[in-house]
Amino acid sequence: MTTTTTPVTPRSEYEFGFHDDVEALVKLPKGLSADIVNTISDIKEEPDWMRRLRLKALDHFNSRPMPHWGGELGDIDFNDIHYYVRATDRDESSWDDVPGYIKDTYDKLGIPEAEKQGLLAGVGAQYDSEVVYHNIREDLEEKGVLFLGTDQALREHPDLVREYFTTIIPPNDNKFAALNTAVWSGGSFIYVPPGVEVDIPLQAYFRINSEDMGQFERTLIIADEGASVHYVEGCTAPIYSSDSLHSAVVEIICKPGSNVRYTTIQNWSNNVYNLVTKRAVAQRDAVMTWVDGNLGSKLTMKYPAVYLMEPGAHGEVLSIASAGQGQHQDAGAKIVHAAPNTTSVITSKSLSMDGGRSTYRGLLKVYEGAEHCRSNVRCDALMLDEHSRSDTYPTMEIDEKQVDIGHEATVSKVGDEQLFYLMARGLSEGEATKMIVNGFVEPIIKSLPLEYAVEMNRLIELQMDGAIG
Amino acid sequence: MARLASPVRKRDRMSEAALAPAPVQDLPAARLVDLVDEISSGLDEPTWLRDWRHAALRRALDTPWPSGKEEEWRRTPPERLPRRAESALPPSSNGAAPTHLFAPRDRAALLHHVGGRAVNAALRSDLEAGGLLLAPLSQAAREHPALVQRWLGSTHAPAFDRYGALGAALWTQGMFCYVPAGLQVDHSVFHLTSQPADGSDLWAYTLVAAERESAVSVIEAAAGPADDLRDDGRAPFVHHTVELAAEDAANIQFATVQRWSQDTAALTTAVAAIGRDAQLRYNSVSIGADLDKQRIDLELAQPGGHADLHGVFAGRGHQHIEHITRQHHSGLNASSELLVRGVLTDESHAVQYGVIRIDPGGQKTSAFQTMRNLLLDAGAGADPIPILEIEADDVKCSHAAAVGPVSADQLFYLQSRGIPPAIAERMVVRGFLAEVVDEIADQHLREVIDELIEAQLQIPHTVVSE
Repeated sequence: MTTTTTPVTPRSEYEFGFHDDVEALVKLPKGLSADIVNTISDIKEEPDWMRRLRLKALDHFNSRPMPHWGGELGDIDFNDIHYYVRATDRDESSWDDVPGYIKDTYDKLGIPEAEKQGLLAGVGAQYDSEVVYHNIREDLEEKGVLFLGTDQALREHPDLVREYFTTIIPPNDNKFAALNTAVWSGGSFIYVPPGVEVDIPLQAYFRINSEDMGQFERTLIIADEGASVHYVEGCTAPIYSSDSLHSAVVEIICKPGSNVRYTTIQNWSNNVYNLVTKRAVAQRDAVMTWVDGNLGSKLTMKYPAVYLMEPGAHGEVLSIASAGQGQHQDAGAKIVHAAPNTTSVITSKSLSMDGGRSTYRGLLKVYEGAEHCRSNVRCDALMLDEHSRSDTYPTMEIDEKQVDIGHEATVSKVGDEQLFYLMARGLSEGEATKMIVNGFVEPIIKSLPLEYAVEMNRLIELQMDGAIG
Repeated sequence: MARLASPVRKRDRMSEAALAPAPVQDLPAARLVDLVDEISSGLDEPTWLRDWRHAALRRALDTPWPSGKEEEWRRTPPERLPRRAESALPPSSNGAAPTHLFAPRDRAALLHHVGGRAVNAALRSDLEAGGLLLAPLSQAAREHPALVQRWLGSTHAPAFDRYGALGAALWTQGMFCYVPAGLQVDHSVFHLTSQPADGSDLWAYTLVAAERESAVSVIEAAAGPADDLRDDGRAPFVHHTVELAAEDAANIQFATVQRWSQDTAALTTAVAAIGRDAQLRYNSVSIGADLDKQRIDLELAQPGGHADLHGVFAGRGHQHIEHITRQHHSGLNASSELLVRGVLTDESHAVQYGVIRIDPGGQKTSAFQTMRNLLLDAGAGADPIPILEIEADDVKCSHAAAVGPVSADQLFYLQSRGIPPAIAERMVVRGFLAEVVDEIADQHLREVIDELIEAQLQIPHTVVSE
């Protein structure tokens, strides 16, 4: 029975662990105060309502206790973080205008190639706090699709931003949403007009480059009636010696009949705290899908939520997490059925290896009166060695009788019979294990865009190289 | 474009939880110390047992009440569970033992407590000769001090929390059942409890110890009046500590049935320690009480142990029924199964918060959880929360939870075979609960339970409400 208990070897070098010696143009001193918040607002020349919102959120942040559940948050020193760093002083309209040192970083990530191949409808790249490059295909622009940095959107479409900003995740929603609201910078703003279908994914990349740097992007997506859009976000951060904090907020509004898919693959380096609040509301007959991949970070606490507010809405969360040495992936999903005839599916797959800890934490809530809801929650966990840990915390609160709610979860190791079968056909134990793991995560991987599916498989294999002989 | 309405917040349990918890009604510490002395001398206990109570009281006073924010507590309506430490010896004369709702027809041994006082004890002579003990705990402490000292507090029940510690300090109704090594008890051992008729609080303590290779079935049945006990709005409080110790290769079948008065708040703190290759089955049937919260821990620290924890409940009115369970595996190759099945009517609400915890030493564990809630009325609700915490890789664990109405397909199937809707519903509900009820090792008791559940749920209920 020792087939998978190979000795622990150090994890392979972090693939995206390069770091550019970039001189930041603006780097506010460490620490969090009303002065810092005011300075951020000053630099951005924001309208007064946003400044007041930030300051209010700062009060919420200061007055709320740290969450006592989830992961170990005690090591975060909020006074030892740069809350705002800017490397360039404007959003560039063309890739050629982006400063060379930033281009180098992104070249290593392969962004422009992807765009040149026409795979992506638009690319926004967030380098530390500001969005440095955004492009959107002209035909989409003609249809009225907006894909901008959130700061730029606030300058160019202040009424639109104000109408939706913090309507889904209020500033006092939780401690980290409050922090984000106080110091947010960058992120993507997407507006898709009624009936417009964006047929290829919009993409953004986020990177943390500076040490002791917090990244607090704020993303707001509005799909108007009958619109559809797929937004893809990938995150990488170079390895620094001290811990970084990433605390994003993503708000999504799916108007009647719209269809939004939001795909995240996070591969932050293993010293990043990734504490993210993501929530969508789905109105009548709208479809909202979160595809959430968590591979990197020291600790991730992220539970994408869908509030099904009107009949016929459908919410879906596909989640995959892989925790290696020193990592805790505390991820999950939250679905709230607040209207009749709404449906939801949660599928979660997690891997624990090399002493890592994967946690599924979910909430499924059905309000009284939300008749004929259907929901299915499925969580599977695979443990690759005896040093690792897997937890499942699914909460269900059902206040309605006429519903069909089911939940199932399993935890297992790689089956000896499966391994034996594959090895009998000439595969090494490592190859066989990888093949079984690939099969295990396949339902999630196949829902990713092609280039992400390839990257995801590669990342999981990379992570397993350290754990499996 | 209108601003989005914030999500509906009907019957939000977070705001319910913000209701003020029941005020703390502790007697002053000095008075509690005196009370422990009064109880202990009133029950004519040996000094060591009184000291043991005092130690538990000191622990209780050092432990805060649950704040209501803990995961295990935040779904419990705080205003409905008293936070008070009051206990009193029952009055000296109760007259003859009244008829008990769950009185058995056939038994190996019987102990009956009325209002906390033992009124009837009987033990079949051949089993008595074989070494079986069934006695009030205080009496056993006088007559068999070595045995009681060995087993009392051997699980962590008295250290559970403030309620657990108070349960060890303040009990007046104690029961000790001891099965010597190798003895196989062929009929069930009954312990009947009649709730104090004046609606005063009751602290009960149950200790069952089965030595190696013995086997016993213990049935505890508690009854109060079918309606309210008090008319002053103060909920009678019952705390029940259960310690079950199964030595190597022993087999304990433990069943507990309660039909407390409708205004009772009942809290159970139960811990079962399962020895090497030992087997334990814990059946719980919950019918009465306004609030019934059962905390049940299974401790599988030895290789090869197996434990089943099977609960059923029938909720009506505004009843709140909770099962807080833990299947704790630290021993090799042990297994456990949790199965909770309940039917809810009216505005009743159920919570199942079950944890499977596997320590690194718990390799080759099989552990399962199933939580099924059948809702018969629109106002009923259930929160099944099955949790896995696993630190060993060679394990088989799964859980499943479901909430829903009586299946329309099943009703249709039965009706298509000529069965009237009312009877079809009864059959479906009966079948739903049968898996657990039918495990109780006494046919007469099963029949009584079936009748009580049907009355409780007003079966036939709202048939075919599609």
